[in-house]
Amino acid sequence: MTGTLLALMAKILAGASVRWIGCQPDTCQRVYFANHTSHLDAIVLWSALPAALRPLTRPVAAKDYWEKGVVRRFMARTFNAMLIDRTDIKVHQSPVDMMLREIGDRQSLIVFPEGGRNTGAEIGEFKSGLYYLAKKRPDLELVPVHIDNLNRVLPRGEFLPVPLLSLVTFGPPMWLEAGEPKVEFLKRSREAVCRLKDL
Amino acid sequence: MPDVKTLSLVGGVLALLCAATTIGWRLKHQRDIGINPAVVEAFNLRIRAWWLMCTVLAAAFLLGNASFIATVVLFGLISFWALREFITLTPTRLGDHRALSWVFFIFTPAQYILVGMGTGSYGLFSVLIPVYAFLFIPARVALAGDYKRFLERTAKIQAGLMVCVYCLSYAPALLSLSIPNYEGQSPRLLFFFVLVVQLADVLQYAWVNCWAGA
Repeated sequence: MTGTLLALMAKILAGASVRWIGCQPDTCQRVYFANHTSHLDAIVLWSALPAALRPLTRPVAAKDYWEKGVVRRFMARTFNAMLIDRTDIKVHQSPVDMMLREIGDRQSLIVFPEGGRNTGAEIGEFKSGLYYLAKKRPDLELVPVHIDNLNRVLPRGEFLPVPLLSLVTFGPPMWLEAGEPKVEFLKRSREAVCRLKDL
Repeated sequence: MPDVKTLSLVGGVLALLCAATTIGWRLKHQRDIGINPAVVEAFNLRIRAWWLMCTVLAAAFLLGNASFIATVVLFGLISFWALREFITLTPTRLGDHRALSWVFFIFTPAQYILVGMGTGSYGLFSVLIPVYAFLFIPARVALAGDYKRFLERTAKIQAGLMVCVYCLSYAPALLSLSIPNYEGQSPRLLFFFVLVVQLADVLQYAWVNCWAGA
């Protein structure tokens, strides 16, 4: 109920039109990875999924931002965010292991492999988390997603959003090839997201 | 109770819409008439949009005493959607963000609140956007410190506000107009206005698709 409300709010504020290119909504376990330009990214991407998939899909978000204040904490609970502490990462408690433990064999993930929100027009280099996710769970479908225009809705450092229309594009799933080096894979996955921009 | 004139107007529009729907439906189910199916599909989508528009407008008109406020709110929402579309297509920069917040959350609601207050606020509502907002927007953008394409950006935001909010807000303002000898008939005036706009859309579409290609 609150989830539907939040999705509706995202619709009014960011008016996302959604395209599925070479990919269909499915309940199988997936990792959606997208470019990151705004705090709204996680909510908008999550809202762009069909209602039946939303309870099964968990956006990975920064704990320091989403635990600040009652409203944010409530919203994070509603879109069942998986909050990761960026300041407190230990070797034996790596975020990747935690994500895999949390999703079990049912849930899907939404990750932003750039790490932080980037301000430029170009999509930044991907961090290695996506590679380790794919390596530890080769059965997960990796779905590239491109989010357009959200940096104009709520840019970095701004408090009040401007309601504009955004565009969410889901691309064809990919997997880690056998023996594919980390750098190659991260480059390939970054290009998969970039490519969706112009489709 | 609506009088004969209003009823015949509503009946006429209903008849037109029904005719259009029937034609669209028949075109869709006759495969071999040599019309591009995409055109038929677009036509049917348009008819559906007209039904929706007419239903919403009719509902706003028929609310009785609350109908004025309901119509103003309806046009306010249309302005909001139109402006959102306009600004999305406008290449604004990060420095415009605060100015845009003002445009969406202060000037647009303020304009419609003034319209909703009736003719008494005409003095302010006729200058709020063309004078105050037009001075405020460049000032706010200048404060943000981004001078790249400054005039172009502010001009585009001003144009959007002018067309999508200021001009459109005069449509519901027709309702508060009191014309000698025609008191209480303003809803029909607005209805006529919307009808003319819609017919222009229909005819433009029909002409382009029937004769432009020939």
